[in-house]
Amino acid sequence: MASRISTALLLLVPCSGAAEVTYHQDIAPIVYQNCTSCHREGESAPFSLSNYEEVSRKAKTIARVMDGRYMPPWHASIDHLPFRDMRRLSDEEIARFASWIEAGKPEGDPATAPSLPDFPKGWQLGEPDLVVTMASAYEVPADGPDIYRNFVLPLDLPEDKWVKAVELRPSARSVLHHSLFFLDDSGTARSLDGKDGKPGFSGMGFRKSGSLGGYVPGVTAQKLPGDLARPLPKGSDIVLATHFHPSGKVENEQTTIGLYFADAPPSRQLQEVQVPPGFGRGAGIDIPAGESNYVIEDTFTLPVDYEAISVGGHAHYICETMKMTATLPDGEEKVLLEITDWDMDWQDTYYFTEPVILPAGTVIKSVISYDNSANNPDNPHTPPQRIKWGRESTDEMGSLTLVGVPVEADDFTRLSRATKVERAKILSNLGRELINSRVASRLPQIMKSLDKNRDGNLDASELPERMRGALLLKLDTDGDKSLNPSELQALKDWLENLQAGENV
Amino acid sequence: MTLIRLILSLVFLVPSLSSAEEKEKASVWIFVAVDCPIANGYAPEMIRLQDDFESRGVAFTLIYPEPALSESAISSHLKDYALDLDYHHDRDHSYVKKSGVTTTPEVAVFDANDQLVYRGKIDNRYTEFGDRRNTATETYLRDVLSDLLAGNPVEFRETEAIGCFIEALAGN
Repeated sequence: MASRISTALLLLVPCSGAAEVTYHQDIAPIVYQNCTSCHREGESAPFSLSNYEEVSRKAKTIARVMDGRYMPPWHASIDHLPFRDMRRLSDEEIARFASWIEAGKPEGDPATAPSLPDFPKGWQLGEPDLVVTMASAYEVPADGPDIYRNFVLPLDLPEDKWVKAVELRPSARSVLHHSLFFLDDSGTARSLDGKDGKPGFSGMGFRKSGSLGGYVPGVTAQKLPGDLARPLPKGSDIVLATHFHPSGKVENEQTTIGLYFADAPPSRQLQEVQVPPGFGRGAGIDIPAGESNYVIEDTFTLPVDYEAISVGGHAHYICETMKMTATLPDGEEKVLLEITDWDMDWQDTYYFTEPVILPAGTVIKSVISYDNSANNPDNPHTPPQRIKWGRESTDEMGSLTLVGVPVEADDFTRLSRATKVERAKILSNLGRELINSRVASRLPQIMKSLDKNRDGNLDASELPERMRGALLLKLDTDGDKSLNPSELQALKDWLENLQAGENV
Repeated sequence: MTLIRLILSLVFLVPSLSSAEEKEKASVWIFVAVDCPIANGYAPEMIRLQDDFESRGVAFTLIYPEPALSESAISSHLKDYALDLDYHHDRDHSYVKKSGVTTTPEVAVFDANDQLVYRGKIDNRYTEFGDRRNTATETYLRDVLSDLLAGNPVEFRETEAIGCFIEALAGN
């Protein structure tokens, strides 16, 4: 025993004597684990970090972005439930990188180098079951504000499918920032496509009939666990809601996606729990100019036992923090997601390492805060302006979404109905407001006074600003951002029905 | 390019040029890297700056401070970003040292007496990594150039550039 200890000491001494930090021994493991999956040839990050030369060339910049925790991108707090594929460096790793630079970036002995992980080329999950590409490329200008654009991928599937995963391959990686995959079963998106002479369309003028997740750089495509899969009903089109950053030169994006199907329908259906629902539409978001800490809150009580798989948030530029907490019936509190430095650029979905079981009666609470002051560099307005809920990126939204399944497959309908009631509540709020201002009975007069250009339609710019977004969402069925006489008739019918319902 | 223009103007326009107009009123060094996304994002603004100020007597030079860069990497960078500017490959970092810059993109402005009057960012579109305004609300470089061209006295000004750091030369 004694001799073994002294041998160990002997081995340690030369090690600590040569405490020099070298690339191959100390730095390469950090870089290969955390950076190279995106920072390599053909991937989304701006330069490659896969060997000594490349890392050495950018060392000071790497140290700086590590130190500020800008890279690797990871915005969920690590103090709560663990997530899969956490891209979060320890303080020790960041300090090690800095001391390597201080030592003059020594390369060290290549013999001590870890081998570069075997990153897959092309499709990360293997050959997809269905590959779909945008019919034509969209030109992203060299300069100017960020662009949000929707692209329709007509599928014309003859039968319902179940989707395990969707993988996206951009053609212009430097400009495509993220893309969300929505479904449209109404054909509306298809009819909007290309109307302004360019591929796709702007704004959210279609009703989403489902979602297949999304793509954010840095996230490894994953198949849903177990037999879980997302429904893709026949007749649905996929709409890619894409966010572009201009890169300094003109780029052409023609996205390809690969779909991976399940062989059989899942035993349990996925049900999202979004709090507040409708991306915060009913939460009354109305943030005064200059307000530095505007907070919204909402809760939802689970009617059934629920198994949460992942969690994510959605908001725009001036959101600062968001937190979703579950209070279990026994009083135990679980923080499901906390983001203290919200960044619209990194709208990640965080997968729990283990599914989180939330019993019936659990109260799920979301708290979201916004900074609409001039001190917030992300503020899209100079000087600050009043910001309300809306679809443009300079408007605000705010919600947190759990994705999961009811523990008992039979509970799906109950859960689904409960989430729909939440959505209905928002519309009934709008309805109540319109009823209170006696819109239905005064519709012809209101119509006349609003229709400034007297073309018989109420264009978006003619609608009262306060209700513009909600009115278009409810009534603009053809998505042309204008209410025609038949859409206005639908408003009258809806209000009359609501009023009849309320009077009963 | 400037040289060609100068020769052309000497050939054709000598009688109409006063000696004061031949002398540059300011020169701007713009430090860039071929693979720095923040620097590349400024390429359209560099072109606009050239359009707005070159004819008024401001000389622009792109400086590539990365020693190991190949000439072909530089020429494809100029072509990709449609940059029609003079450039210098600062292999020995003499331009980096003279101007004291640390970052790409970063600019150094010298007045007609070759005095450094400004060092820092082009404008305030970036305040931190990932914090990008859609439009700048402060145009530092334009302000300095306008002051110089207006003949206003310009005291040395400095802002902190945001972008990719210029690595020290090996052995330094």
